[in-house]
Amino acid sequence: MDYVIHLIILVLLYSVVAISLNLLVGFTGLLSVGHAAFFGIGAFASGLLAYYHGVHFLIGMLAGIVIAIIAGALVSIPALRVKDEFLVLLTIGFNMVIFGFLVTQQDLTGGRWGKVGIPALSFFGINLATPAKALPIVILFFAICFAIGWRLTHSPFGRVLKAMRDDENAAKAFGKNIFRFKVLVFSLGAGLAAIAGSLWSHYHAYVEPRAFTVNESIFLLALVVIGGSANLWGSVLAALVLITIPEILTFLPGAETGEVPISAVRIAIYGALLVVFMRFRPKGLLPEHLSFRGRKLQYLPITAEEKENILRPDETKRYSGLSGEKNETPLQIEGLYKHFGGLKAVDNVSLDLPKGRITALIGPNGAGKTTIFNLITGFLSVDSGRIHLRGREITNQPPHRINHLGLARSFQEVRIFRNMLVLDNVLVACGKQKGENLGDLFFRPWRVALEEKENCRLAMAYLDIVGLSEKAEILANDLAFAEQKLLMLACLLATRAEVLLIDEVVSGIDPGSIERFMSLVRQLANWGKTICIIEHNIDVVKTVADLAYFLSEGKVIAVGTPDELLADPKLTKIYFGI
Amino acid sequence: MFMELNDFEVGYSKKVIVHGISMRIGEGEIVSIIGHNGAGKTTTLKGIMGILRPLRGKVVFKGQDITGHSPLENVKNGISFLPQDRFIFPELSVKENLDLGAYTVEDDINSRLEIIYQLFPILKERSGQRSSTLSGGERRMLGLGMILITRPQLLLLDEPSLGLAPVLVTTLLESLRNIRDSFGTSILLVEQNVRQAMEFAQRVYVMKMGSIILEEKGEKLLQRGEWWDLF
Repeated sequence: MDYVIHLIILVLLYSVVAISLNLLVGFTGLLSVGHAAFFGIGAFASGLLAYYHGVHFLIGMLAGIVIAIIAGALVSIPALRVKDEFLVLLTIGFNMVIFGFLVTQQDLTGGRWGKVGIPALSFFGINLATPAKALPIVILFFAICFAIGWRLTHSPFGRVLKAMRDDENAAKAFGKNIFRFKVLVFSLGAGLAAIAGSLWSHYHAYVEPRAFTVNESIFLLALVVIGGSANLWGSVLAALVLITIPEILTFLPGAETGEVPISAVRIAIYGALLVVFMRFRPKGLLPEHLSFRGRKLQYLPITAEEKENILRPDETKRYSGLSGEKNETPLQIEGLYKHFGGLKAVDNVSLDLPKGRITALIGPNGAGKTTIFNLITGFLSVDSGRIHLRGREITNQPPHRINHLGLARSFQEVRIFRNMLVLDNVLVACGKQKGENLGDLFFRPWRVALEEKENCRLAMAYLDIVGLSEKAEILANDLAFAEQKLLMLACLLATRAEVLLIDEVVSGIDPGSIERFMSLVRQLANWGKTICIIEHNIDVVKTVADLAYFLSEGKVIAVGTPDELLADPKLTKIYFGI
Repeated sequence: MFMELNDFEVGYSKKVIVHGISMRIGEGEIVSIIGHNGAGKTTTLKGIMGILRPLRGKVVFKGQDITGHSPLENVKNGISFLPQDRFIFPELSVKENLDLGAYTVEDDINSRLEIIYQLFPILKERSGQRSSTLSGGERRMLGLGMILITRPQLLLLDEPSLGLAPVLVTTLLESLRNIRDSFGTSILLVEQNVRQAMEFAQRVYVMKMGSIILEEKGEKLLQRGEWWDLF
C-alpha cells in the first residue's frame, strides 16, 4: 500500500513541476529546457536549511521560493532577447551552471552524492515520515499550486501570455509590456517548481544534484508536451502516465532471473510509448482547446447610446499625463528619416493628423507608407525627426507605451492571436486590465471579475460592430481571411485609442463589409477620433478621406484632397500608369 | 473540359465548408469566384490544390481524376496556387525564393527567371535582398513570380491584387492575360475586388455559404448592375 501512496506522491510532485513549466512552454511559448534547475534550487535550499539549522520545512520552502524567483528573473532577462533554439541553449546552460555549482560545493551540498538525512516533513510537531502521513501535505500543496496555476492562466494575465505566444508584436501593439510579463512568468514558474523541490527533498529525506540534471529538464518538458501544451490537467495526466508506466514495466516477466537486460527493455518500451503518444495525439493527451466546449456566453446587449460611447475616444486615456489636450492636431510629425542601408525608405517626411479627420497615405508599393506607421508606433527606430502626440514627444518610445498614450495601429498583414478564441483576441486589445496585475488577480478577485464581465460585454459589442459576434466562440485561426481582417479592426476599436492608424484593412474583404467600414470610420471621425489610413482601394480613399498625402520613394510629393491629387496627371501616371 | 469539379465537398476536419459544388474551366479560360467573407472561396481553391482533402466528389484535370492528389503531385502536373498570405519565405533572398518556386522545374531556369524579371522588374533590382524587407506589394509580386516560374497550365489565384497599388493591379491583370494568351494557361481567380473580377474574367461563379448560387458571364453580370444585391 505504501508503494502505491509513494507513487501518488511522486505523481503529484511532478505534476506541480510540470504545471510550472507549462506556464512558460505551453502558455507563453518560451521553450525552456532548464526547469529542473529551479526544482533543484527549491530542494537544496529547503533541505539544507533543515539539515544544518533545523529550520522548519515551510520556512525552508519559502527561502527556496525566494531564491528560485530571483534566479528565474535573472534568467528571464537574457531570455528576453532570444527565442526558440537560442532560448533552449540558454536554459540548458543555466541548468548546467546550477548542476555544476551543486556538485562542486561539496562541503555544503555533499557534492555528487548529495546529503542524506534531510529532516522529514512535519506539521505542528507531528512527524510525517511515512508516505501515508506525508500524502495529505503533498495533496494540500498540489492543490494550492494547481489553483495558482489555474488562476494565472484562466484570467486576463493568462490571456496576455497566450497572446505573446501567438504574436509578440501584436501584443506589444495592444499595449502589453512584454518585458514585464516575461520576467513575471519566469519568476512564477521558478517559484512553483521550488515548492515541489522542497517537498521532494523532505519527503525523500535526501537531496542529490543528479536528480536535477538537464536530462530531468527534458523529462519535465516531455510531461508538458505529452500532456498537452497550455492544458494544466494535461500536465497532471502526463505525470500520472509517465511515472506509473516505468513502474508497471518493473513487473515484466524475467525481471528476477536476470536473463534479459530488463532495464534496457524498459527504456525501449518507454521510448516506443512516447513515439506512439506523439504520433496519435500530436497536441498532447489533453489538447489546449478542449475545455471551452459547451461554455455558454450571455451578455447584456449594448444600447445605442453606449455604442456611441465605446466608439468615442477614451477620455481617461487622453488626459493621462498629456499636455495640450485641446490641440487640434493630435499627431505631428517633423522631418522623419529612415534609411535601410542605401534604401531611403522614409526621406524627410512631415505630416499632421488633424483631430476628427481622416487622412489617407497613398502611393505606389514600396513608397514607405507602412514604414511611417512602424516609425510612429515604435516598431522601427527613427533615424532622425520628431513625432509628437498631443504635444508630447513619443519618438522612439516602445510600442506598448505609445498604445497607452492613446495611439493604436493595425497591421498590413493579418496579425491576430491564432490559437485563441475570437472573443479573447478582442479582450486582449481592451487596454490595461486589473486582471493583468498579480496583486488584483489574487487579492482583489471581485474587482477583476467585475471588470472582466464588463470587458466581455464591450468585446462582444465591438465584434458586433464588425459583424463577427456570431463567431466569438471559435478559434481565430478558423476564421476566413476577410473575417480575420475584420477581427483586427474590432481589436483596433477595442483599444479605444484616440489616434488610429489603419493599414489596408479593407483589402480582401467583401463589398458589403467595405461599405460598413467606410461608414464606421466616418462615424468615428465625427465622434472626435483622429484617423490615418493606408489604402489602395481608390473608391474608399475618395469616399472617406478628408486629406491625402501622396508618397513616392519615401518622400511626400503632394498633399491635398483625394480628388485634387487624383486629378493631377503627374500623380496618376505614377499611381495608375496612365 | 480542362478542369472540372463534380459534387465537390471540402472542409476542415469534420466541419464542411464547401457543400457539393460543381464547376468547370475551359482551356485558356479565365474564371473568377466572388462572394461573401467566409463563403468558401479559399477553401475551394485549397481543395482543388490538395491542401485540404476533399470529403466527397471529384476533381478532374485534363481528363484525369486528380481527387486527393498531394500539392506536390499537382504542381508537377501543372497546377499552381497562390495563397492570400504567407506565400514567401521571408528569411530567404528574393532570388532564393524564386529558385524554390522553380523546385519542380528540370530544365534551365535562367531563361524563365528573365521572363519573371521582365514581368516584375523590381524583383530583379531586389534579387539579393532578404524578402522580409520587401513592401507588401513587392512580396505579392514575388509570390506570383514564384508560381509563374513553373509555367503552370492552371493557375489558382487567391486575391492576387491584395495590397497592390492600382498601377500594379492593371499591370498584373495585363500580364496574367498575356500569360494566358502565350501559354494557354487557365486561371481560376478569387477576387474581392468584384468589379475588376467581372471585367477580367470570362465567367464568374458567385458563392454563398459554401454553395454556388449563380454562374454568369463576367460582362453580363457587370451589365446587370444589381450584382450588389448578391451580397
